[in-house]
Amino acid sequence: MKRFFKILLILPLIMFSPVILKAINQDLKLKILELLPCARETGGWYPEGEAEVAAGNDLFLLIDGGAAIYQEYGFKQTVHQTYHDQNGKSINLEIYEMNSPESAYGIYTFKRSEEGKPVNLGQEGWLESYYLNFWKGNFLVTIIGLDTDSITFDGIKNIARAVDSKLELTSEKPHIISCLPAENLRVNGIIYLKGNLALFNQYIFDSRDIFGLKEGVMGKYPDHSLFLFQYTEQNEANKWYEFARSNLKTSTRFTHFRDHDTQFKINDPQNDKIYIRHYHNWILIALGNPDMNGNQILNELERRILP
Amino acid sequence: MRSKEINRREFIRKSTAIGVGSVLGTRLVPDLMLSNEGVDLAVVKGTNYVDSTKKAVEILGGIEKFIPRNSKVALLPNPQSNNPGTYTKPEIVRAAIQMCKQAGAKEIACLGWLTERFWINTGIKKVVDSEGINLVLADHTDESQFTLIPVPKGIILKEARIMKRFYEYDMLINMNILKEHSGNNLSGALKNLMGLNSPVSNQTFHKRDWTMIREDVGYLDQCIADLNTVIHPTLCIIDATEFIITHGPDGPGKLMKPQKVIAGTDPLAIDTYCSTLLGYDSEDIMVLKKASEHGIGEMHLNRIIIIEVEI
Repeated sequence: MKRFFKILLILPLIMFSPVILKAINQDLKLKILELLPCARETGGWYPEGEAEVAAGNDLFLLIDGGAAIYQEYGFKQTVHQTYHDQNGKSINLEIYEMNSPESAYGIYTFKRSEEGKPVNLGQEGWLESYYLNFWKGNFLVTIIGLDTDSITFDGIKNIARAVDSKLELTSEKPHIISCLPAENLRVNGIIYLKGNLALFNQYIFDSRDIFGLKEGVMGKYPDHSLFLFQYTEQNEANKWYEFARSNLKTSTRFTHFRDHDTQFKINDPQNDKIYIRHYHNWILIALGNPDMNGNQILNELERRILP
Repeated sequence: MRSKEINRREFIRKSTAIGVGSVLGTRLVPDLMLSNEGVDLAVVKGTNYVDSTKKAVEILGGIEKFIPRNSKVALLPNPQSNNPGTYTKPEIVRAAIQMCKQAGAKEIACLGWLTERFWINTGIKKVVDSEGINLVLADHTDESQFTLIPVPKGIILKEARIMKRFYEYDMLINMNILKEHSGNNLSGALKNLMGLNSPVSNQTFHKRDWTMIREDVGYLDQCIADLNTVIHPTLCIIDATEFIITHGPDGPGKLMKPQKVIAGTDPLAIDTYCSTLLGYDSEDIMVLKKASEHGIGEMHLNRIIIIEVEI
């Protein structure tokens, strides 16, 4: 028995010793470096200079304040590598390993723009005017052309395909995505949210986290947007609903506050209407033009969430 | 920076100058109509960024107004990323260097703590070398290269950790690129001073606790405003030529190309104007309010005198 307890005491010291941790980190670093394609795999694009790897908080040193949103979604490590061709054109490759497939999917939806078009890469990919993003398993891959030449554009896709072929893990999208009504939902209008910073970048309710947001989704439709925030239990949802309600009621940004049981309504500076409703362990929000029938939209949403 | 109430006659005179200058180009507008008296911001639109930069400073009164002969000048461009629209254009840095030489500066240097790789990748190092000036970099892993500076007016930031070598210079020209920032919507002149502050300190602007952060965005903005109470640029030259309006600060993101260079001495007035280029109402940008509360400058657009020309 004594021996057992001795082992219990010693084991954490061994596991978390600097030497062991360094070895684990080195192993993780090597694994992400293995995802970098070589020139043979990219159709003539060569790695230029050393790859930069950053894990945890070191991401701030690599991309400065841009790190905050990755940390919110759940970041593990990244590798950045520049590629060039024989004519001196350059492409930047960034591979982000996140903590989970949900985190990777989330940051992918965050980075995807309102323009561009889908591209057949990873589990989902989006091609913009000079860059692309795709998501696969725990990974987000971003590839940027430093000019808009067609050769560079082809290079972006070649490098993307090469990285895609090295990523094996696949997974499902977060379940909350399926709660959004599919009719008229824009393909690139889904943003999975894991915190207030992501929400703040979509719509400014408040600079503070008045919803206590941990998991949510935004869906964009032609004439309105929906926000669904999910909580672990009803009491928690109610607590944050009341907190948001009291803040938005007194906010100078919003007007025409109207209260009704488990729902309130406000107008924003553009005179768009916002309906905010507490429903079981959810907060549901419909935001749209003055003609929007927010009650009907949220009623239908309730039926989808808890049929 | 003083703000100035313009009387109706002067408003008409300056409005006419702006209108004519914008349409016909400055060659057809007599210089006396572009008087620098009381001008807060000079905005020059054009495809030659060197010329635009020099014209913007000329409108403010010329470089000699800001850089005394034999002074030592620190330049603070932003080389954060080489993704399109995320870094200060090398041509604008070149123009600033050339103007400082023209003013008779004894020493000119670009300062920062990002490693040399960033400066090389953005092309700024090439300009530094070709113009024969210094690149003064602090090793961000060595805190002894940063000095602790109290921030007496700081509401959140009580002390900054500024590059020691910054204090060897007499003048600072702040040279950010305007861009969107996912942390607080706007990366402008106010935020660019983080380029002199140690990353160990900067990181605390963004992160207090990754659980239940309620003040995140406001926290960052307050720290930026606090930092601006202890560093005061002599002149700001802003790259608003081509920049990202989404997914900043390092991109990639949607590019906007107004081809403008902006010069001024009030970083708050500059950021107030720049927020409109990003499509924001200045009231929505918290860092502007926080800076205004510190008395750093002017955040009401109707009180800022702007001369805008196209060349």
